[in-house]
Amino acid sequence: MGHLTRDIAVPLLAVLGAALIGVSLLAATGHDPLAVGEAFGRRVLLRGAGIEESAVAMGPLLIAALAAWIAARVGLWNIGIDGQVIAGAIAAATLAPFLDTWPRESMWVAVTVVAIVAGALWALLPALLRAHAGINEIVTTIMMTYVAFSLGSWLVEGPLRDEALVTPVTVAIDVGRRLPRVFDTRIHLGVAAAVVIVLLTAAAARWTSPGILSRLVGESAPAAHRLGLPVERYVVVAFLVSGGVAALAGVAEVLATRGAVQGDWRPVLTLPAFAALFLARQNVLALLPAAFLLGMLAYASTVLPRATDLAPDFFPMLEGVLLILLAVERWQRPERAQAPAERSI
Amino acid sequence: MILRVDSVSRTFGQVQACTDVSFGVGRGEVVALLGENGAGKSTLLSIIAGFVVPDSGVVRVDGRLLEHGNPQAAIRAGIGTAFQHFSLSPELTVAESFALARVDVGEARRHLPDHIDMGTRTGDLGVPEQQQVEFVKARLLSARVMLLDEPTSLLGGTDVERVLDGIQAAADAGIACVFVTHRLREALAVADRIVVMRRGWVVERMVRSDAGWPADTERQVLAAMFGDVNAVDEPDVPRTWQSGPGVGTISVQGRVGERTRDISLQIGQVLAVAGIAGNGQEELIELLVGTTADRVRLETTGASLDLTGHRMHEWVRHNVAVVPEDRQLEGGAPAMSLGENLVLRDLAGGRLSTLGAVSRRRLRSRARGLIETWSIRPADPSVRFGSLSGGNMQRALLARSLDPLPKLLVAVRPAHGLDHRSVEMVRRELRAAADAGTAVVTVEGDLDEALAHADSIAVMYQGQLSAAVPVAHADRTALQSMTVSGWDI
Repeated sequence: MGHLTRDIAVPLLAVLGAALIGVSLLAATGHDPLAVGEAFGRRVLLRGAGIEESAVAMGPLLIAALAAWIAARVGLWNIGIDGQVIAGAIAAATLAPFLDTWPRESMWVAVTVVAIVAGALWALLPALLRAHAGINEIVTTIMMTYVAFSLGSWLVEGPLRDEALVTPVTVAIDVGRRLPRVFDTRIHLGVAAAVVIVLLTAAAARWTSPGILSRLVGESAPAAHRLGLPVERYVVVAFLVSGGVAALAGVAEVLATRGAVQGDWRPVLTLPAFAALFLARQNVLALLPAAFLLGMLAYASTVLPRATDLAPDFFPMLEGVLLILLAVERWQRPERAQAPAERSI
Repeated sequence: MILRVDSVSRTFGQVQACTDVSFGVGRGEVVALLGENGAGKSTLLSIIAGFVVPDSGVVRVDGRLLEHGNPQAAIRAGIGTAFQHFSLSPELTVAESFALARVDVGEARRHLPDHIDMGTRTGDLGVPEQQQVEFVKARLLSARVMLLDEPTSLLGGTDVERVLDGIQAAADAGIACVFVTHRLREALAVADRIVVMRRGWVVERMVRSDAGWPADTERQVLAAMFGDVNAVDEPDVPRTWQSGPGVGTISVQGRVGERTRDISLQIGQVLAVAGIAGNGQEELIELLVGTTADRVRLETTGASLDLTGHRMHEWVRHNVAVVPEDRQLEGGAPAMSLGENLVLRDLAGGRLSTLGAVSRRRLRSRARGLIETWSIRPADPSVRFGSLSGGNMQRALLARSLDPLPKLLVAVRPAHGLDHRSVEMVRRELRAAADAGTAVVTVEGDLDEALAHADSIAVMYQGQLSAAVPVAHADRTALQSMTVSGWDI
């Protein structure tokens, strides 16, 4: 099988496989698969609002998947995306009320920049430990996420709490100062920005020298070392960028979705990010359809349970099945001789 | 005979790794298996241990046929292994690794020397101690045969003595030992018999009598290991010791082994560092490419430049190129295209890009240019680098490393595993680079190859680097002996 054929066939088969398993599970648990399918088509797939809401749900997933892709580019696993999202969100929610008097556009830029720095800082420790002490980043990033969860809760319930409200939540940004919607849709500016950032990253990977060399670092660090490349610096920088990008999902929560951070907010973006990454077969542009598909599942899990008496966990479970199927394929992948390179020049 | 190998042959692709190999080891006997890298020793051990299936031939333990390709069956038959990289898990304590192998820990304690503590992590033990743990394990698992693949290759000095003592003790306990080594001295010290392999064949067998080894054992073994001395082609290009354009030197200072060394490389010359792998070459390479160097001094007629710290690293980045031994893993990214691999050194050196931005069209035409000049096949920049043949991969790496010409080229076993035509190409290009004003260093395991492409030769042995001698004045036999037994200073 050719390389391109495989890159298209494998994700399609995985999605089909996950759908079949989903249907069997529905039938086995006494649901009517046809009714669920019909509801999915009617409320999500074939309705303008369904598509728009799916796109909105795609936004944070796309950003998280991009963060995972950037780390994977240099051969690392950023499993701490959720922690970096929290760091970004907390930074945004802390700063935004102080900029009350600023024009909203300037406020967006300032908040975004500070949040990116916060996300990058949250990735700094794992990056340094990885680059200079060889400590596995998978473990350290997971730990940093737990620290972020606890620290975030404490800040929202303590110093950052809006005293006027009963439940712990930070001071909210006025609806009028949040990110506007694009044209006449439900899609906010943050989602459009996420798509643009993915396109810019794809361009940087292909048309800049660090973009191309970073792939060498990921594919073969010894070869990069032999070429005199500062491998450690690539690793640290890519990890900081990954954390900074992840923080954008936190910015979207504050500037668009809720306008504040709630005390019990626990983003769950890391796993979907890797589902999207594997579904896209590590091709950055393919993250767009992959994240959109996962966005549809995320939206479906909010509307279908009401319509069809389905457990809300059904769709995250489908996502898990998809991830396992893709992982199985990766594990089984044969060595391909004479196949064209992933991207030729 | 406890272990009996009969007419074992095995090929890998075009390479005859073992051809019609037969030998046996008796109870309490030590057989040393000697030969150059690639002589087939490791393949032979892997066949006995059940990791590799032979094309033909049989292995018997106590007269019973051993099932091929079944490591478990080999262990059950009583074959123990202590390979270069230990099977001990470094995180486990000594007691735990015995328990894991289902060996009685109390019994093991009695067999171990007192200074080894059962509570120590095996990773914290020295190599000889790890070896002793393996020996005791093998003995208590009632192993009849012990296979030792270069147990001393990473060691020096007294550690070597202790490993040899361990082998002797195992033999005294009745175990039949097969001891693979590059070092003649060790073989002479511990073995009862020596079997020499070359290019897959057994070419010499020596037996120690009660009076010791026969008089000229050393010379005979060397001749067998390296082939007939007289059959070597004389270098066909006449060379003079100090010549070439831009005469000058590049001196790299830093640690090799225990001592700080100043390695002086002549511009316009090819220096081969000969020696058997595992004698500190990796360290030397890291020094030459600047990773561990303290300073680099450049001297040309009338000018001298002393570089340290940041300035040294800048110099290295732009003026040193490496053709690594492992073309697949260290040379480039196998999954990236040939074209991308060809421009990696340009990009790393800041060429072909404007403020970091790259034109794919420029990359493509640069890659096509190199493919054409160097006749790389297939002549298609979009094929995966990993799908190229060894010769074409080496062409690509040389192309990338020599255009633009570096001031210093480090090539590790550049002709290794290549066909005749590619070997010629490599030698020609190294020569051309030197003539054009590059200081060329090759790290070479094959002495004949070193003699064929170098102007001068130095030898590495146990972390020490000998003085360089011009090839024209080189004594091949003396060099051989230096690679195997070292030298007196």
